[in-house]
Amino acid sequence: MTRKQPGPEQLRRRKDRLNSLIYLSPSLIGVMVFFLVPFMVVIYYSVIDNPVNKDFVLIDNFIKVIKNSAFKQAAANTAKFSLVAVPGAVVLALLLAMLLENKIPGKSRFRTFFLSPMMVPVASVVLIWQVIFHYNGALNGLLSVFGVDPIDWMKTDYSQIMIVILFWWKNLGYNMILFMAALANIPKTLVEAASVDGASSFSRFWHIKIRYLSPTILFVTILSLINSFKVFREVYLLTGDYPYETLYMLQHFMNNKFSSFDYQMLSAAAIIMAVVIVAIIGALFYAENRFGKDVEQ
Amino acid sequence: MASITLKNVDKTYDGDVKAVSGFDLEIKDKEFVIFVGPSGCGKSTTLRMIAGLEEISSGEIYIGDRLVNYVEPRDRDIAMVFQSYALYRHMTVYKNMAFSLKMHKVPKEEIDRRVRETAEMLGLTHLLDRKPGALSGGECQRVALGRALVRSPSVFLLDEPLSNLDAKLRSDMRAEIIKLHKKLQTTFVYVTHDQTEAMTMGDRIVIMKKGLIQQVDSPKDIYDHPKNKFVAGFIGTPQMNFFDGEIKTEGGRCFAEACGSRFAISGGYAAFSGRKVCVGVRPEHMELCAGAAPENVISGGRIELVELLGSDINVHASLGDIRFVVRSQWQSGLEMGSAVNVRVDTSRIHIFDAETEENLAMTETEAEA
Amino acid sequence: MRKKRTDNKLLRSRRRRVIKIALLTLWAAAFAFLFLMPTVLTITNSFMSASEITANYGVIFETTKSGGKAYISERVNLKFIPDKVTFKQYITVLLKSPEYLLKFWNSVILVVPIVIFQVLIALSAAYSFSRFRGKGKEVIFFAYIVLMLMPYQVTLVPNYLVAEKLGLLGSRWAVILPGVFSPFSVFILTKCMRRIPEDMIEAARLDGASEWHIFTRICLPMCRGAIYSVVILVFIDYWNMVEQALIMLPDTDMQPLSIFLSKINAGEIGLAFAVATIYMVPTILLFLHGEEHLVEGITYSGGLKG
Repeated sequence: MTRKQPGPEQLRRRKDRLNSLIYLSPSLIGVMVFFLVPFMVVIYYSVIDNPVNKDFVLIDNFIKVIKNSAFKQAAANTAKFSLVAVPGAVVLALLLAMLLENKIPGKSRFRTFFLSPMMVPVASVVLIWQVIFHYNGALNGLLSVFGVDPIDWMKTDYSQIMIVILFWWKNLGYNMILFMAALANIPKTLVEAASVDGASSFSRFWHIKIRYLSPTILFVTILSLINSFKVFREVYLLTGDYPYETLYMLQHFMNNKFSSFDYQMLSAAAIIMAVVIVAIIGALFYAENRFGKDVEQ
Repeated sequence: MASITLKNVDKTYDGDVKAVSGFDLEIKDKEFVIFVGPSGCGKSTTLRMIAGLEEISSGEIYIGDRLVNYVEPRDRDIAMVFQSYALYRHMTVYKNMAFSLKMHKVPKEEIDRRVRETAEMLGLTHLLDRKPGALSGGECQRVALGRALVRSPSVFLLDEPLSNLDAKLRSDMRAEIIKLHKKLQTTFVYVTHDQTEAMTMGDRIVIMKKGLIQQVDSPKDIYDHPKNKFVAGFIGTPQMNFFDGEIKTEGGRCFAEACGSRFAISGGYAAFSGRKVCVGVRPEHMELCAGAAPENVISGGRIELVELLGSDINVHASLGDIRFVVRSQWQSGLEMGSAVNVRVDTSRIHIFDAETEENLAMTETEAEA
Repeated sequence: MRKKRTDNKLLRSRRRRVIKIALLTLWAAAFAFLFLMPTVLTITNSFMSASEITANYGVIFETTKSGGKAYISERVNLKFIPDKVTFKQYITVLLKSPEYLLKFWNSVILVVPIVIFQVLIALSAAYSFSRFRGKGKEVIFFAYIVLMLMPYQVTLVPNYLVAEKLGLLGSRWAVILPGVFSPFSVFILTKCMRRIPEDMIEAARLDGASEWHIFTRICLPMCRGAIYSVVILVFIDYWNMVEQALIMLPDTDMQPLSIFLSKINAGEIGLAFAVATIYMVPTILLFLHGEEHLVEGITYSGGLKG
């Protein structure tokens, strides 16, 4: 009985599958080892009470985390920060992109300038931030010219304003580039038709352009959201291990738990964060899908 | 009033690329004017300048009595149909048509009335709740028309609106647009690269080449009296035949010598005796004949190809290096390679100067539209 | 008579247009100033002598507006401060306090391997994701995207656990390895490779090219812009690293300059500016050299849908 020989098509397909795995393997193995498998362990840790007993306590750890005052503080701060910083990062970047849409001289030069904060390491520029935002610093100096009393930017609630500004400074350029590309991709004849139809500049934007911008708005929002967690860097470099209470961020919370080896809390907190982020992003995606459905390109 | 006047309009892009030069035209109220020419001739650019979508480099444009050079498109009381229709894909047909009225703050009941009226006129009533994504090309086109119509503007601008449709739809829509014009009694300015559209639809045609107006006339006049070789060759299918030749006078009569033969032309050409010329004859003004003759007949031609067009045929023939086409009624016995003689209707010959390409008959008598 | 009226109208509208452009340019310039100011200040302040710095910033920043304002008002186009320009700070850094250079080296030895290997591994993975599609693949790719969206607060925990298990805690590998396998580059490079027209690949296959050939001779060259921008983006992100180093490298000897810089004492502020400027150099060079690619890459990354 002769065995059926695999045809050339099947051989090709088998070879493809093999190649596919080979090329993916370095990355996939790394991802599994350093992220996916340990994440399973994290889930495991989050549902047991301690590494010795290994009793399952399911949601107890999660409740402990949520009730923890430090966590609550950090979460509240993060939420407050994101609610202001992220929409601001989107809207301001869009405005900047629209500004650069016009025929102003040196447009590309301006683009470089707006993008420049991206290339400056946080560590380098923190010094100047200190000079500017210190109680005796430049900003208060400027304010005093207008008769405003000096503000303690670092150790009061005003500190949140400060980091929002720092965040915007760093991220607006990147977001602006994304919006510039999106604006350039809006079909020109559509805007012209609206122009002929009698739409003012504002109407053209509101009724037409926004629809075509919505995928980018979604993307920039998500990106800014992810980046908003990195603001820890600025906070840490400016204020060290013990920031003012309104600057206490989730990473501070995690750092503390790391040093106390409280794996349970760590794991539970990480999972809570992961779930919240996935939920938010999922909601954003859904919203964009409804809104921008028809103008898909 | 909705006349349009363009005075010496120029459009230059950076880099000194002149898209339109010295465009002078008076379009009367309610007229249907067509801009036609090969790609890059500046017809769309001129239309867009009338619309206000392109800046005018120099010159003036008036709509009615109003100078509109710096007036925004939306204040010019115009409507435009784009080649790509430019429909708002996220709005229903109804909203598409209502949009401009909404922008002009027309009251809601009025909007509704006008939209439904226009939809009725164009046969779109059953599509009002659909979005452009769910419409066919022809339906999209009608919505684009409807969107422009609903505003009852004084001027209608159409930029190659039929280019994206298939042939059958195109001819249907052509008729629709002509009917629309008659009904609305509004000024229409229509841009196309298709000379058939130009010939069948316009009151007057503006032929353009490389940014310059070549001729402005009614279709018939352009057909009968083309001002230069370009116009003569652009209008008419199949294209006019051109033969290099010379004007000769002999015994008080004038001849154009070309194609190994000579053709009797009017005595008025005597002044151009000896001039090198280009002789133009339309395929429909030539006919196959039996025998040779000393005058007005091209003899010794060879049939290269016979195209069957129903009851008519296009006979492609050659004489040495010269190629030409004869339009004739169908006859039997025509085979590739067989010899053929062609008689030319000399009353329909056009003589163009070999260098300037101007129609010699029109240089003295200034043919003005 | 009529001509005069229309001329005026033309002039007025033209003037209105010019004013609008002028205003917009002014706005743009104002923003540009705000965006550039901190960077420029850092650089120019690095050329000040220690005494000038102390005079201006004081040990506890005792000066007020004259300290900060003086530089701001003199800024405009000048690169140097009116007072003495000195390289003394740099000399101190390079010769007398080499510990900063050590930390700089720490940064380099962390970031460069991450960038190189992340990109290489990502290219390979991107090739797999773009050339060989399949249901399972799409699921894995989706997992990559989700992973990419997680902030460090989430990913550090699993990274830490693995590092501990493998005994890597406190060593550089604990930072380098997770960085190498970060899915960010995979995402961008996959998008780039998926854009390559299928016909080109088919033609190559018909011509007898092996998989490796297609990878190296076709896909890689075509993604050059994306590769460049990924290099820049990844480099910048890790050059700024703070979170991972804090957790995995408690030993200050190993810490990168991104953290160490903030620990400079008040008495060495002048030095700090010089070090800060030195730290900026790699990223500025990369940025200026590859700005076009960077912009292209950023635009690429936009639009998560396919």
